[in-house]
Amino acid sequence: MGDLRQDPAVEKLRQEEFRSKPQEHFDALPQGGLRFGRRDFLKWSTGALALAATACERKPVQQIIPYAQQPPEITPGIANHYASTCRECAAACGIVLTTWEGRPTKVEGNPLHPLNRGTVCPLGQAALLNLYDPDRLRTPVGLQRVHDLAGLVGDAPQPKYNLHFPTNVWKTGSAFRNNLHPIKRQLKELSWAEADQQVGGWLQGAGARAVLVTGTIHGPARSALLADFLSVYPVRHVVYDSLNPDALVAAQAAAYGAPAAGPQSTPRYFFDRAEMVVSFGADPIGGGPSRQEHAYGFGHQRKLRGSQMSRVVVFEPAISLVGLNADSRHLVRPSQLLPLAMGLAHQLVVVNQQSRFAGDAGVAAALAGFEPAAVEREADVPAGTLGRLAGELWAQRGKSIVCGGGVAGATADQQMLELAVAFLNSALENEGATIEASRSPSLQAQGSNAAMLALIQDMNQGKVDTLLVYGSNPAYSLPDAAGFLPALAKVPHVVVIAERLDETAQLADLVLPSLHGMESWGDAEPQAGLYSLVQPTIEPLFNGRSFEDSLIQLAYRTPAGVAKFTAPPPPPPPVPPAPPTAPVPAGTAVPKAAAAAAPPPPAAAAAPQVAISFHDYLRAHWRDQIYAKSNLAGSFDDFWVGALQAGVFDPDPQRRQPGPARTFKTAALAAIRPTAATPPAAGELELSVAASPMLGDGWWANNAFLQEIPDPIWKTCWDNHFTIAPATAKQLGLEADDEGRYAIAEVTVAGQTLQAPVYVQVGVHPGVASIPLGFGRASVGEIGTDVGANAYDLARPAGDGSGIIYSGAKVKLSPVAAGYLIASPQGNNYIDFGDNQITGEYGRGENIVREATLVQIEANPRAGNPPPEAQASLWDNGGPSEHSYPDYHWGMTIDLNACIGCNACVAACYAENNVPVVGKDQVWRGREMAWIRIDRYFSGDEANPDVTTQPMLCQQCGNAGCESVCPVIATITDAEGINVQVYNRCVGTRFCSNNCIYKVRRFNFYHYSKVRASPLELALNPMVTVRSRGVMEKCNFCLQRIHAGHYRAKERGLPVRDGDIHTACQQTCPSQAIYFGNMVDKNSEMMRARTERGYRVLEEMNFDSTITYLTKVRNRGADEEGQA
Amino acid sequence: MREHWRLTLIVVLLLGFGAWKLLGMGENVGYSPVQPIPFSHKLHAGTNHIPCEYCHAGVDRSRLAPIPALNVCMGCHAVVASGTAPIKQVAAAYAALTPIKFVRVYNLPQFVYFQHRWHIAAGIACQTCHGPVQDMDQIVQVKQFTMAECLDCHRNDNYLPTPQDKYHRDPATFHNRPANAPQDCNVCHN
Repeated sequence: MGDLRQDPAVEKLRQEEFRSKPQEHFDALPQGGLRFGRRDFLKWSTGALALAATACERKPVQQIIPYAQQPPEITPGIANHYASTCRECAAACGIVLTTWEGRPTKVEGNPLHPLNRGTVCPLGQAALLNLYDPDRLRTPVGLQRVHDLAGLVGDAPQPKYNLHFPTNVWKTGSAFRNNLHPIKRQLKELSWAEADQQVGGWLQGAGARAVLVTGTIHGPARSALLADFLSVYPVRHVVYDSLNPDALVAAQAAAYGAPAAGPQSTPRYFFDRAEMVVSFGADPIGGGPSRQEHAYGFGHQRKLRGSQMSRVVVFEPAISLVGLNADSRHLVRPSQLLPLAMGLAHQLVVVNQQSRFAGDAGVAAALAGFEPAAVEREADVPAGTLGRLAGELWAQRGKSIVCGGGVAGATADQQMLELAVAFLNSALENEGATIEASRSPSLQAQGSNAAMLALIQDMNQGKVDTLLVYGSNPAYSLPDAAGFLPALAKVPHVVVIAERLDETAQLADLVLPSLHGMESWGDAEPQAGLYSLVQPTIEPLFNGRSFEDSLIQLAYRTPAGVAKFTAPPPPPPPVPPAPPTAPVPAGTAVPKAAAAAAPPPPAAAAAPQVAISFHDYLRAHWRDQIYAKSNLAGSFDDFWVGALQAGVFDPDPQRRQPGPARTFKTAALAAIRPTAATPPAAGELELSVAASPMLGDGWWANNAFLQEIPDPIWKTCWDNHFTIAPATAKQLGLEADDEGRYAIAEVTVAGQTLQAPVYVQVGVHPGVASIPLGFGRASVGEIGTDVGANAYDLARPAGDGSGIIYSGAKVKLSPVAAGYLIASPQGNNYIDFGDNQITGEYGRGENIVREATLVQIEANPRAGNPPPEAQASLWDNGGPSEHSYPDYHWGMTIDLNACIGCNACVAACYAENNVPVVGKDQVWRGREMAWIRIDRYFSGDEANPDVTTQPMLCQQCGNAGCESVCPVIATITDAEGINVQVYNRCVGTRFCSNNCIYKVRRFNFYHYSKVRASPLELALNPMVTVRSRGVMEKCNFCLQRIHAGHYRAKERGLPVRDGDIHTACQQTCPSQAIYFGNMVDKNSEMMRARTERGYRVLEEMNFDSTITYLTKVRNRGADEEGQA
Repeated sequence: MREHWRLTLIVVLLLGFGAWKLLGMGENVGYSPVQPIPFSHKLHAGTNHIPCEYCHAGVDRSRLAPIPALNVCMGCHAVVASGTAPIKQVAAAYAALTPIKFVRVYNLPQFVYFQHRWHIAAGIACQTCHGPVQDMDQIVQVKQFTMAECLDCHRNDNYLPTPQDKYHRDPATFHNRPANAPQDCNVCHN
């Protein structure tokens, strides 16, 4: 926005390209230390040369270590691909893992999986960093229990600073959390046998007073194993995730009765069938239980099909990912979401007399208090909005989705809001058409805050002797007001099974390391009737054991467990070696330590008995339950190999289509009563919390990719912050200072205080302060600990224990400090418009981002997209480059309409191309290394702007500005039109970056690639050079993938076909906004996508770029007449 | 003055010698390290005419020429010459599943992505780059592995498509252009 106002600071940045100059770094070195001038350099280099002359011949002795026994499926230098299931969150998308000599290096979506259909979200793309995380727990440990919470207070952690990852530490609400740090804890390493003995003893001693807390677990064999475990030990099972659908589940039960598929099933939404999406505070594509499935359907519906595209209307307190894509967005306070939803229902049913509920006296009475005009006035929404919206929705009945709630809508009224939304969907006949809950509901979110709150009560009353926690981190994500920490202190024995020493693990007696999803066997059933398999692709890196194997080993300590889990006598039949078509890494079935730890069973037979592994259990369960019930031809072994190869088994896709509509019980509506709105006092804001689209609920906070890739909306990284509107900032005196530094403010909710920086940006309701969750981890690892503030502290349990309230509290931002720097990569890439501003109705950014409304496009396909003005050229022919490309000329088409801004492409590029992470300090200096970035542009009304997201990467120019200024010809255009960067030739003058008009070149100011701690280097793609200090780098259209495409074509003896080559960004894009192909082939999908909407960024500069963007189209619908 | 002359001459000579050595640094021609087992290519590839690809299997499919695993050795040596000391060493290593750590002879920098498979497909003999391996008891590097050496071949239009190479023999796919090897930087530098 500073750009729009032409702030002096921004103009300065535009001129100078970087915030700091290298000279400043040297000037900052301590005086009197080593000063190394030019003359010194010459002197020393002369000496070095002379010395080199006397040195012996260099023979760097390296070793080649072949296999002792080479697995048949592995050929060094050739990648293997394995289908599996993503275990990063409970959505359980299908993935395909690329492995090189037994180490996975890339996650891609499984095209056969009906959920994500070949794409993966940014969290999945970054999953490798979780696998190779050096901060994972390596062996079972015992801890000294922390009982005396007060003793820790006041022992504040020292701020940590190092060259590349300066972290920011300030007091958050909970001094207790602040003071837990792994370094301070005395860890006692244990063997698995010792650990098992201890835990088994505790479980047997506790009897029914033991509790198992897990995150959401689904999958036929995993669920069956859990049930078996619960039958061996009479343990109570509580499911708790960081964010739980309590309100949705309760509202659905009230509206439709108890769900057929179990109490914790939730509806599924078919966004790929929705021509209209209306959201009241929810963000189905930026968070929630199945974001990638939703993003896929949502994104495809956003594409212009003829003159049709979906329409998105969003009511929300601050922009979310779905709000970023809204055709009409209305910024409202969280407390206004429920009245607006009810007002919409009133308009539809009472005023318009539409839907099957029209004329129902009970419904009319329930809606009576929500006159649309009054609601609109109260919420400060333009009059007539609800009237137009109701008309549009009715026209699209059965083809729309109304969603609501989410974290931003999780106010005290969250259950009522979900009820109102359910009513709207039933009235609009979406139930059973775009929403399915009767036959194959979602099982992806089964957690319950209410169950957790009840458990805390029992813990406080001393009813819990042993607590076993897995896949759940209540010590982090429960607000202090829930009282989890004091309650935990009253539990005699706490055991945590976790991948790392997280907050909950810090408070345990014993922590057992579990395995990452890529190291373990497993299965998943994200939607009832859809099964997928998890297969290991790497031996466990550390001395861990999967949760499932831990359950078996613990159960095996009792006679009942021995009866259930003994491996069949005689010695377990050897699993036949998998044929090369479905290779399975051998030896992962039973970790050696686990097998050794198995004690002799009490009723020992003559032959030593051992417990089965989870792999055996899984296979047996699939044989007896899934294969046996599916009436398939062929043997089970064939089925098993086929299922492993496909990764997914979908026995009856038809059954997973929307089933019969459920009947809405109108009596439930009577519970919703209009509340007298209390206008906020002067200076008071309403709090709106959001799940961060990058860090999610905070589980992945130690992932450097997710920390560094900027938030899609606010474009800041390595931080979270209260975001307030510019007008509000002015009013409260919380504006950024002249240097672009922000204030830190304190907020108090129900006695809990939280300090966080205050970021000022448009797209927030002036009466709202918005802050994302997922940051402020007290104990997660070197990357994520102490980054940002923990906004869970501002939540509070509902009075009746039915859930947790996140948003809607009235808060005051009181400044406590000033001068805080927020790193925002968007602010680093100012494109210099120079004198090339096109004047007229389009204004300044018109040659970068182009937009039009659907009505304009229908009238004129080139609306908003005037042809470029002819400009002078350096080249003799005055036009495109003189090179000819007879066979291949690679190009890209990017549909701005379909880009939803989710950052999946950015994460994919980081993972594919070994892009280094540089840390907050370097990002602030403008040295982030992302090869592709999503630029976000605002347009229209400054208080509530339209947003366009634009993937910006190297445009592979024909007349590239970078090439003509490189003194060593390190960047040149190759025979297929790619502007390649030759790292070994680059001497680092940075002239190219200076001359690039798209600001997509990245320079290694430091040896960023060396910052990786072992074993993170295993995640590197062996087909891409790791760049070192002083080298320029940039996007090269995934050269290694183009090579691979050529190789495949050569093997076939035919030219490369359209669709043979996918770049990493294109491959993972949920909406397939990116087309890549051969520009010589005019029939390629990429060339066919270049319609009249196509334009090239800064085309008048005559760089002859090979990337064409398509104009962003907004479907204003009925609002268009209102605005015109 | 004369002394200055002499001193300058010495320094210049020293620097020149240093520069000459530096330019040749990394070429490693003549490098022939002693390997942990006295494996003789002369015996295997020369005397017994075992094809290179029998042991270096996968070289026609991979960018690497894989060093054989011990199970490949033992495929023959479980029977052949099983009583000799070196074979006993190999058998012991195989029984213990401890790999033998060979000393690398040919070393390309990590920013070079040389593809063995396409050179094999083009019918280039291993000896073209690796020298007369079949005559070597201990492997010795005979050629410089420099970019100049690569380009010397890639610049000569001397590639004759082998009968298997459908791609280059098909005029439709290759536009009847001379089939010289590509010289783009990105062919080897990803």
